[in-house]
Amino acid sequence: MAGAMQVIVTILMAVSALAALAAVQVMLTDRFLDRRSQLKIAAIVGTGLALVFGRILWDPVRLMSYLLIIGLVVGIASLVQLTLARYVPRRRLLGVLVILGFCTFAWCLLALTDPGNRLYIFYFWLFTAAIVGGAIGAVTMRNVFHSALALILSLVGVAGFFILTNAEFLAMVQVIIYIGGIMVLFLFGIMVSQNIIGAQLKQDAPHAPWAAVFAGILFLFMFFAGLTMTFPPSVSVPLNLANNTQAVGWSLMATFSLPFEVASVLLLMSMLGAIILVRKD
Amino acid sequence: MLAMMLVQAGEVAEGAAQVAPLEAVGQVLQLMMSEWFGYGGDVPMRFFTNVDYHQYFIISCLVFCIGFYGVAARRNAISMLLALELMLNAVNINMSAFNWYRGPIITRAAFTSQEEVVTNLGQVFSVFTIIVAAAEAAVGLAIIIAFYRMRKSIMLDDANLMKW
Repeated sequence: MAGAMQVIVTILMAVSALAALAAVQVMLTDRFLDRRSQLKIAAIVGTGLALVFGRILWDPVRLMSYLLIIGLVVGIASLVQLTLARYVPRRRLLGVLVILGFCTFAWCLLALTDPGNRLYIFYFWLFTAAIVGGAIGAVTMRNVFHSALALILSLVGVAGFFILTNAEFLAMVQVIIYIGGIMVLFLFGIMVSQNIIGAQLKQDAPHAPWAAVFAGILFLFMFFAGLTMTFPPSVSVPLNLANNTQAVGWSLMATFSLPFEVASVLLLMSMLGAIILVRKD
Repeated sequence: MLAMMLVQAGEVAEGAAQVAPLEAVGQVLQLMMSEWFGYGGDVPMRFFTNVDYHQYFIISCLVFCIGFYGVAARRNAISMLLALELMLNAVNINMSAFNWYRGPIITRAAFTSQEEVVTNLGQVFSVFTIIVAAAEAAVGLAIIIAFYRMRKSIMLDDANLMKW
């Protein structure tokens, strides 16, 4: 019974992994290749991933479990995308949202099973969903304005991460300056430099799949480096100061006063440079 | 598969009648995971049920790689700058998480009478990263606007004046 179950699970996982790879390729490139070349690319990438994972994860059961998780999540998204292909103008966005919804749902279930710090884990994965969803939307959407709005969602998630790691001052700085300053500047820049607001142009360069491959290799490298990373034990430090803002302010004014002054000179230079570049004469 | 899940739910419900239904669902899920994967020890779901520095590091790497893809593969100059902001935010996440999980360092503060001061070095570095990101976003957008005035286009393919 258990053996037959594992065989069924293995077949399901192989099918879903192939569907996942095809879906990722469809989502990352702007053009929809024919089935044969999709299957070829999926087979090559799948074999490469199996070799990489098989080399590093000797245990086939762990390998299967990793592939099953990835394959299930992205396979469901690919099915949803393929069914909504022709009639929905933003199928890519819907695919991303389906992935995020499924991930958040599954992770909330799993996080709530842990008897320890449940709420912390729940908020961590919620903010992760916001950050990763906003990031994928920012690099995938065809309308530049929409990708800037997706980046704003991502930055809100990053502010949440700062609050989770007890950096409240940094969270406020992120919201006020990064979202309220830099992203508004980006939105103004987009509105000034586009002929038609809402233009749906093809946004990906023709060498985009190569960029995806290199980004994937980079992520795998960092992922395995992080897995084998050993961490020195943390030292419990008594906090002298009242709150986080006071601590960061003390550091900026006392210990890091020279970088602080240099940063203000840098901001002055960038202001002058921007004004001179945009001047009309 | 559904039948097996119901059988396992029945087994769990027999043994733990006083447990709240949420705990029972969690136990059923963990039983399912350990049963499917063949052994109940080191399931990779441990990555998702604990939050340590490693989770922050993996998320930071993921966002960094997504930003890298955006910088390399987008045709629009403004989209490229947006992905660049993503990469900087990934670095900020990593710094802040490292500061929390490794612990702040104790330095001797300059210009003060206090001997030892707690320095949240990751957060201070993130503040400087945000400052530098603001500066380069302003200058980058100014360059793009100047370029747009000249060529009436922000596509990077049209920035070929230096091509020989």
